[in-house]
Amino acid sequence: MGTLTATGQVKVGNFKETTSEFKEKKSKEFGNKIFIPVLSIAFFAFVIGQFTSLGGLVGLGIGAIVATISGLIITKAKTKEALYEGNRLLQQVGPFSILPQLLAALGALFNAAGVGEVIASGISKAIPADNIIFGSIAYCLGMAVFTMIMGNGFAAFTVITAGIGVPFVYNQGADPAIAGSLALTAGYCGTLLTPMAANFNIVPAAVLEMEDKNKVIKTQAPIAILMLVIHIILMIVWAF
Amino acid sequence: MIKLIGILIIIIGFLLKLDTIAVVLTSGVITGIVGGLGFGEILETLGQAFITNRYMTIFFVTLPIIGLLEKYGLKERAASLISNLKAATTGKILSFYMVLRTIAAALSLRIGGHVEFIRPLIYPMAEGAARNKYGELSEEETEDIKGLSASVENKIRYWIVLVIIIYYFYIRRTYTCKTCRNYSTYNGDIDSNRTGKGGKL
Repeated sequence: MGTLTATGQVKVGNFKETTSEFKEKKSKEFGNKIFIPVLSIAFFAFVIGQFTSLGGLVGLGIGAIVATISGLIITKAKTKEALYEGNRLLQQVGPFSILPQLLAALGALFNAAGVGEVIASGISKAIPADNIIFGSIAYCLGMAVFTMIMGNGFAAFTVITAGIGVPFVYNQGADPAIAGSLALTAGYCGTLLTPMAANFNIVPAAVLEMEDKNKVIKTQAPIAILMLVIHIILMIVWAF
Repeated sequence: MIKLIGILIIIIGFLLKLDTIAVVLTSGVITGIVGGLGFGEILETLGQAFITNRYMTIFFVTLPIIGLLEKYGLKERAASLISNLKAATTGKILSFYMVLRTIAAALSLRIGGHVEFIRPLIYPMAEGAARNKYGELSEEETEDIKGLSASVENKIRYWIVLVIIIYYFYIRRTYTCKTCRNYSTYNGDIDSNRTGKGGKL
């Protein structure tokens, strides 16, 4: 797959966009009934995820089937149209649709190759051993930075906790429950800042057909950085 | 240090806007090689993680119906619904959605999603409200609204976690006060804590 895209063998097809007059007309014709299929996805995902042992993903699948059937009934469209439109949306998102899975695989490789240990040992050499303020800063920043690289807070958590958390925070007398939960959410600050978390930041930009694929990250950056600072302060104040 | 080369490849690849899939795979394979993994092992790790994370692509199953409904005027309907509400603003709609989702998530109800909610419903409403108020929007302004609409879906994770942390503290505090009246850093009202809802531990 990688070779195919690298050599430019994959091309996006051409799709006809429906005219806006047609959409306006149809939207008046169907009224609020058109929301039924969309809400049924959420409804089934929720009910099946919550009240059966099948899990939310199965619910989402069943919800999608129910939504497709009810949608076809309400709009009286042909099945072929649904497939065509689905294809159009998928092509709009393009290669980004498969990116989250690929990046998760990359994260697994980074882990197996020991990239985290290199970063953790790099940071740990730079900070004094018995200073809780520097320790907390390094722990939170380390989580955020490594999450940015991995695109996943959980993957970063084990590595950074072993490399930085234990020697510089927990061994200095921090409450593991508080410092641990704060460290994980400090990692989420990194999630908001990185294209590696493609399912949160890149796919939505493609789904919403945004010009600037980094716009989501730019919008989130001020909040993410502010929250990171708050996390560091909270860890110093609450955990010790 | 050589192990960090994969990160470098990713950064350079993204900056030069090279083919994303190829960059990611190249970075992975090279990192695996310098990390001392065999080629078989690299492929195995890649494949394994790719399979485990296949839930990330489940939104594919909702694409046909979302696409179909869009063709039949879903976005237009959402926007016209909002235009009947004179008080609605972009900020209010997005905040309302965020609060609603946070509460739902705190009760472990998983609703939402960029494909299922933001694109067909929330974004058209947010944009419709802005159009109501300011007339036609420039491209930059619609980009801003898109960016905000996408990020309310993401930032929710924070508030969930924050709620959990605060809740944890609430329990911990009441618990500590129950077991030890002289808990040194505690200076609140012990009785109200003991009889309050959080006292049942």
